[in-house]
Amino acid sequence: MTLKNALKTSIRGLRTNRSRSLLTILGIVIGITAIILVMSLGQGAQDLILSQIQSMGSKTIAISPGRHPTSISDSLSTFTDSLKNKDVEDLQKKSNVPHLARIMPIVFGSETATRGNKIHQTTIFGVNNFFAEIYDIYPDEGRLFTDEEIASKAEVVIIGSKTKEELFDSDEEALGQKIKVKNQSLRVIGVLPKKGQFSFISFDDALIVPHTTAQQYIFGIKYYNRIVVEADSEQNVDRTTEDIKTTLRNNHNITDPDKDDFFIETQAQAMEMVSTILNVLTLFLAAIAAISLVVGGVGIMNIMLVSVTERTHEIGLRKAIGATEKDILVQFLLEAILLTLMGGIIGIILGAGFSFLASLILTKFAGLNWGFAFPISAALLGLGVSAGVGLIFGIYPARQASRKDPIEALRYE
Amino acid sequence: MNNLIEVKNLEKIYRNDSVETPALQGVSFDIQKGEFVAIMGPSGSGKSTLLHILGFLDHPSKGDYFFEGKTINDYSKIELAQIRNKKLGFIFQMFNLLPRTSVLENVKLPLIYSDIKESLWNELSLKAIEQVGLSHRINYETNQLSGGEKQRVAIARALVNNPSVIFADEPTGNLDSKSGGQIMEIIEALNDQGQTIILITHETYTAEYSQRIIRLKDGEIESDEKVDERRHTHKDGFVK
Repeated sequence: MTLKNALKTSIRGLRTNRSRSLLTILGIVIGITAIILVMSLGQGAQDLILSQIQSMGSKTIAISPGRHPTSISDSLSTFTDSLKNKDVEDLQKKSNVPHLARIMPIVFGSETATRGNKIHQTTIFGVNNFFAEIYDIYPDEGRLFTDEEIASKAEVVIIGSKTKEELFDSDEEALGQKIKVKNQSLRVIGVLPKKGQFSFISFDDALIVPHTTAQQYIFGIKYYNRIVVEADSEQNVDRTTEDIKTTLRNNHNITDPDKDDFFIETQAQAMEMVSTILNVLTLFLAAIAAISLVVGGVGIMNIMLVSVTERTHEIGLRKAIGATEKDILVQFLLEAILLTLMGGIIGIILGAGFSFLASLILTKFAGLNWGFAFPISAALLGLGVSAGVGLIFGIYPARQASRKDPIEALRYE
Repeated sequence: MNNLIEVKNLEKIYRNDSVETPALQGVSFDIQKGEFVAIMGPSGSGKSTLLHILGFLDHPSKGDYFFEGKTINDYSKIELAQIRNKKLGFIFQMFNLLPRTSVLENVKLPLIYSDIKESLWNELSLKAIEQVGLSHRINYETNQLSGGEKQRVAIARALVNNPSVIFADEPTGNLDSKSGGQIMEIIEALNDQGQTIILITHETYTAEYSQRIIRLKDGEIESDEKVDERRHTHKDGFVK
């Protein structure tokens, strides 16, 4: 029998039991839907986060105090005071770091902002104007800081859109008004547009002040929580990283690199790390979803066995009129594979559909710029896996069918 | 020698948990091309066993079976399947049609296992359906047909590959006497056109359509004689 006719025979067999066929593949449909959904959402999340990291510029280098965290207890040492004002000054010298284009020291912390009887829990960022460029967020009312304001530790603040909503009435003008943080009055000079969650930072409910002001009047510290450096070109990122290390080790009297009290991360490293984590997470979730495929496969085997018994007469007849064992085996195996493939295709369509819906919802309600991603690899995997499930769980019932003695099969009542 | 089938000292013993049940005990006969032979006997007489061996569905325990001059003992399972496909046609008591499948597709079934070109399948099937007078039912599904019509589909299916011999196993067993008579008339007409027929039955009135009756009892041939005179009347249907 040709493959074409074998296919026709199997399709006819499935059509004869249409509703049972549909119920049988439900397990496979659910399994493949889950896998496609997880993989598609994983891809979407990765695209989103990577594009955000990338938008911060591939030339940026972040310096953090403490040791590179390799365990949870290590991460506590992030809050050390090793990055000082002198470090920032020395890094700016051409003789130390020739390819440094810009530098931004950062201090941050959580504080309560008040205005009259209105209270808002907020994150305060002490930065310079470079932040607007890195995060691509500019005030849509008012302005950024002046150099004078930064140098003189001016009591000025740029507020996020959420902060404005919380501290001001909707029709109230915020510019020029004063808000209070830790008994320190700050004058609003700018309001940021609504931007939503930006990778790990949200500026919507933030207060942004000059780093000098934040150090002196708000947190009362003499060190920085982070220093961000931009190299003059992408090619010079590695060179600049080395220059920064040398300068800081000199300043901190460190000879053994293992005893560094700071660590440096570039955007390239960050992207690599994030995509590794997300890939592992996606695969892990897909593997869990795959368990349902095993359950679905057992269901297919069960129904195929029932079907073989039920169709004993048909098998006997086919053998009597000239079907070989192989013909019968192929017929029932193809039925199983067609069933699971059909489940796979439905699952892929459903999975992609749900993922598309999720991207719409996330974009609309969570304010994320979430793009719908449908990895072709996921679709191919779905098809391959579902056909594989059919093959594995169909082979036993198909063998049972092919080995039926035509005499017994014809006699069977 | 014009023997289509030649059986010599055929024996079949069923072994089950060291209990031996003899079903056939030395059966010998010849069947010529174009003959219409009825094999009769009560249940347990061995007629089904004999049919299975003659129909290449089972091997004898002892003895020889020559089909078109060749012994069947040497054939493999696959070769037996091929011979069944090319040389034999089967008609069963239970019809054994595929449910929810059209008449045409049912009749076509043996062809998909054959090496006949696919472009000829429809033509051959339609011809066989015409021979049993069901041309007006081609696209009906089998479950929409009456018992007699179902058996006619089965006859068309047995005919479609132009077999050397058609085996009919109690073809009227599930039919009322009127449609039973019609089926027997179709079978008789096929024989008139030269088709060899081997009919298994326990009913004398069905057997009497044949030219020769072999009676089995307890696995042995009790009698083997020609039917001198046809006792039924053609147009008036079935006469008991």
